[in-house]
Amino acid sequence: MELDELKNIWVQYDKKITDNTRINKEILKRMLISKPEKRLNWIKIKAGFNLLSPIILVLIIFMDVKFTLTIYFYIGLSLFIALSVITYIWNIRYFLLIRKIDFSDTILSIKKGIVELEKYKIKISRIKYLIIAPFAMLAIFSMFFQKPIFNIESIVLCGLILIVFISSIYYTFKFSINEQFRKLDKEIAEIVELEKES
Amino acid sequence: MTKDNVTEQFLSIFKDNTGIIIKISRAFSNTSHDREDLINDIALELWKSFKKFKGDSKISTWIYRVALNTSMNYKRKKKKDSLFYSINDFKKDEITPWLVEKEQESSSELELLYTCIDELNEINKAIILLYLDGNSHDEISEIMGISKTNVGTRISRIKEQIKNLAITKI
Repeated sequence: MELDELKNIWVQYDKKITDNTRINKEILKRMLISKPEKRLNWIKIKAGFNLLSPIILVLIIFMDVKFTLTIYFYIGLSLFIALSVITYIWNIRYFLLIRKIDFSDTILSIKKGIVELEKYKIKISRIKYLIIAPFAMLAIFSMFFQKPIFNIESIVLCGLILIVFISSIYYTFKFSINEQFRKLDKEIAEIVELEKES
Repeated sequence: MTKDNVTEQFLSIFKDNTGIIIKISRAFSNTSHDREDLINDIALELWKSFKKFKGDSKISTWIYRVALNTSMNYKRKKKKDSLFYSINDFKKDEITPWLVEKEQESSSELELLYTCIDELNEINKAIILLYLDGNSHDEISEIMGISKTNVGTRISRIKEQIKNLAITKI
């Protein structure tokens, strides 16, 4: 199949499309107005919830649970707040990075931007899994229990939490994150190669 | 310019360039459900970026960029749950309700061409679609963000690739 032949097929197809396609302007108009509004509202609700969630969390903690205000409680609380703030900042940064993407840029620059954004997201989840989550659990435990209690129930509970956590890390890293990283690195290498050729 | 005028202007541009969107969406989606979804997404992204479009490039260049970028991003998102979408591909002959595309016979050559294009990687797929649509090397280079020489080299390579693919698929 020669390229000229392909071009001919394509030109005929183009003509068929032009002859057979009719746009229902009214429906399109409504779709263009209502769909972005719905999306925008959803983004606003999500952003609002993210903004208010730490306050709601603190309110729930202070309303429903009786804490013993010892030094362990304050250490746990500080650690928990610090970790929440870090995660919160990362989420905002990610949201801003997504907003920066402009689809009217060149294909190569958008492709690179999206791949790097995905890599950034995976990096964050890696840190969240390996560092943030264990410390957050530690912070919650110090807020609730202050001192470690060694009895069968508490050991079983901790053991179960640990097993679930380790299995989840194992699965995520072995089958998901590492594979995704490998693919993204390959894609970035291809883009860099393309840029070099340019 | 009033909001109504902007909408009218956009709709008229959209109408004149529907062909580009249909061809690109078909090349980047495997099921009719995906295609419908993708056309909706492209329309939306075009509408969103229309307000920012200053006219510093040709309208078709802008449309190609948005359509190709949206399609590539769509394909990326859909890769993860492709099985789900294949299972749910009930609406085989329908097209998005605002875009009335009359039932048309798809020639076997065209099917073969799309199958071959589907085997190419994203960048090459975009380049060949632009080339088949009659864009010059200059225009392809401007849309893609790669050099003219690179466009030329790639087109020759793609030509060979499609030739070989077509032979194996006939």
